[in-house]
Amino acid sequence: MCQTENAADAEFCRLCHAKLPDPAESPIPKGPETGATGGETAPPARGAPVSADRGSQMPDWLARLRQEVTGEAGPSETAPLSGAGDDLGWLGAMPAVAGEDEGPPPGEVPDWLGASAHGGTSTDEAAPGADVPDWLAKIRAKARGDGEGEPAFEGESAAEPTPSPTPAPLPEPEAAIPAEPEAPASLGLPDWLLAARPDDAPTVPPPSEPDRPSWLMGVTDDGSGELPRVPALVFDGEGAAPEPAPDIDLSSVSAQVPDWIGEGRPPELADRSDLAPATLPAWLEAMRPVDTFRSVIEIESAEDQAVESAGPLAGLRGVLLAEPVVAMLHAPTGKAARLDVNERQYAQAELLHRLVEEEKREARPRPAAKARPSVLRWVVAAALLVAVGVPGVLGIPAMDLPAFAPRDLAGLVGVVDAIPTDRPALVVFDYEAGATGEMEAVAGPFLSHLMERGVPIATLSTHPGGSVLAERLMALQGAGHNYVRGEDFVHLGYLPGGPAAVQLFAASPRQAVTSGFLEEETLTTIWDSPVLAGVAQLSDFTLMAVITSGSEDARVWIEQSEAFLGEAPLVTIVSAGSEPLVRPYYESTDPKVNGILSGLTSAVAYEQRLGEPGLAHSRWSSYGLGLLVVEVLVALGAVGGITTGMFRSRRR
Amino acid sequence: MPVQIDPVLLETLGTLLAAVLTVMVLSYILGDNALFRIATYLFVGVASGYAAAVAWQEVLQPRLIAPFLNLNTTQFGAGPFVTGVVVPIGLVGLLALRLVPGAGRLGGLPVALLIGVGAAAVVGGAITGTLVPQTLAAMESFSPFAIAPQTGETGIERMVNVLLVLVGTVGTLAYFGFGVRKGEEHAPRYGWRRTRTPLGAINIPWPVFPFLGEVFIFVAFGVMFAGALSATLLYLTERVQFLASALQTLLSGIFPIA
Repeated sequence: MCQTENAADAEFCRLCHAKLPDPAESPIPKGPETGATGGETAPPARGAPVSADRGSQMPDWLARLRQEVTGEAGPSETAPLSGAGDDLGWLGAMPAVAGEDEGPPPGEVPDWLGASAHGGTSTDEAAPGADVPDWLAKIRAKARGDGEGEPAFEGESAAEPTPSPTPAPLPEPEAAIPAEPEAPASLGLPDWLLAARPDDAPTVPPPSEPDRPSWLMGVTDDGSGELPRVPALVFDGEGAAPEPAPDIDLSSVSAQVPDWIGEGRPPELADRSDLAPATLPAWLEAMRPVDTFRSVIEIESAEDQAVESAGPLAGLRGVLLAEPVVAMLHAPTGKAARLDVNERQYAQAELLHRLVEEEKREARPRPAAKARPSVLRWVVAAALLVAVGVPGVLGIPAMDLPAFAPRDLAGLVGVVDAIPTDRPALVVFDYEAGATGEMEAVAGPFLSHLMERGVPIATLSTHPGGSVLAERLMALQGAGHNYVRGEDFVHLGYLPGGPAAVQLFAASPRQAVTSGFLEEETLTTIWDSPVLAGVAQLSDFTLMAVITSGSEDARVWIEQSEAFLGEAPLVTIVSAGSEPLVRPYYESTDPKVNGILSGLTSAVAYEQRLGEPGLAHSRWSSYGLGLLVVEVLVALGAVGGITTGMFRSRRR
Repeated sequence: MPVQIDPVLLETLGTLLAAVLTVMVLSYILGDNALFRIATYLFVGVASGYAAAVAWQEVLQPRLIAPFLNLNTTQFGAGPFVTGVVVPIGLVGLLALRLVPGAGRLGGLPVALLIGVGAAAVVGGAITGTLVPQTLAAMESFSPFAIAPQTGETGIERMVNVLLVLVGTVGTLAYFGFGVRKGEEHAPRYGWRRTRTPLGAINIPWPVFPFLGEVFIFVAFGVMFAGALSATLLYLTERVQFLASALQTLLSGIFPIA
């Protein structure tokens, strides 16, 4: 109850929405306006009857209190409560507020208090003074103006066992705290409140009748001018410890008492079998904090309660904290956060936890799983090795030599046959060491043809290792034609710089190349070699041949040297893989290449034409059988792929 | 005093080492293994070392160091001295500045010169040596009396060949046409359109030239793959024959035939 003044016909408080007593059934107590001390909440007379009807609307002790104060008898006094005469005696034994032990001195009772007392129904007539606590009797006496009375509290009254309205544990009395010896007429009020107390009680006249709202016109007024209110029940901690309350039947007042009071019911009443147990929805049951539920409210003792140190409530104990409890720092209770999860949710939470933990860890490179070579790979390798190795080692089976020479070969042979032999031919070795297996076999007959004709040869390379490969092939082919390095052929060596260097060499060979590879020590420069006698520019070479395994090198030499060659023919000896990209330079209307030689077939035909079986012939059988095996494997692979695709499409 | 090594022994050791390295490389047939890796690492290292040695022996020493060391007072200020000694050394010094923090931009000058000259040489050669001649080659006469200069083709054979070159050139250029209409960025280069013919309704690619260009590209790649396969087979043949020859040489040395 918030002590808010409400309309007479209101059922609920407009501020705290508490249910208000019906003014028609329960007359408003006409006692003086209460303060925080609750002086008007005097204990009822012992043995006062309690109305059973009212019991459903207000507690019995409150009804008796009202009867005590207002003198109004209950409508029916049929069933006196067992032990009712002692039920509220503890209120009288409650520790006295400072200055309340003797009551206010005579003459200091405020008029407003006296007026309130007189304005209402006389309570001293309704209840004998013996049944009224002393302190209340004193207040009554003061209200009547006699000012005589005995001290309100005696020592025995404080020690007198008092019943408690609830069986719940109550705060221990603050017996250790001494009461203030002198506080006349304070009634337990703080000083600041007393200072603000009005000197004349009814300074504010009651509102006149015309001022009342229309909805309040029908409300019964007792003439006191007071709005209906509900007195507050305040428990003071001082005094002796309250004894456990006697058995009180709270069933009749359960509708109004809070739950914590209702828990004090006798077990036999709480466990009534005729009541259906309440059922909670599953989702609500899952949300219920089972472990943290406390059925018993533990109230701190008065000693443990903090004393307000600031603000208008300074000096009071047990006041509510201004700061919400939830905002205060406190140790978290682990049990309160426990959730009811199922196995699937737990697994997902574990998975998420594992993912987060893995992210924190430094990723360690996992060793790559070694791919097992398939059996098919071994089969293909074995087939190729046997097909290539057996003819080379045993000489069987011997593959037939090509019956027809490629058409390009005739043009190349014609070019070589037409060149003059008084000037050297420039042969460019632009391939790497890995391509010697093919390029030596293909270029061998070409070089052999030049040597057969006695053409001096000058080698050059734009690859660092090209000069070594040139020396190797020239030594191999020159052995059969008595070609000697320095006399019949020379190595111009390495030409660094890529396309720009090629262009420079095409424009000015002597400026681009200053020193040769494996040149004679007696020579000042490679151009002093008798092989290069009379050569000052590119067109002075009788022929230019490019032996390369890649189309890029061939293209660079064709593009950069074409303008400087003059009448000298340009031939290319290229790998079979790059032939399609070089052939357009040969077959165009204005050919940039005058002869082309590519592939082992052309080389074998060349050797046949020269009548000098060489490297191409020695590798023909192995190459032929190996090529046959490759074709068979390709065909089998194609058939297998098509078959697999058809099966997969059928499965789909 | 240089150590004299018997050339025959040196040749034998070289052949044996080459055979062992060949076997180590061929062991990749069994899968990736340590022997294969050792052989490949050895080849890469030897090739790099040899390239560095060649660069020093044939480029740096004779063209940069030797002219600087053989200078005499009469050559100062001469044209060959400036272009052959001063300018190269200056460019090398600028290139070395790329390693110095804060002065790396100066090193961009020789790099720009190198790239610019190289690009100019390549582009100029490509235009005069490839682009124009090949474009003209795609526009040859359809006259049946014309004769190809290199192959001697004439008549129908040459006409078919010229037609194939023309269609292939136009089709390939159409396939690599990257211009698309707005809203058709993800549309295929060509689609299939059902067309009525005297033989019935058939699906034909439309536009047709990108389709033909794709076909020509497939054929060209197929031919290049066949040539590469043929070359690779020749590499294998040469190595197997070398192994057989080396083994025969070693066995004949160990067990000489009386």
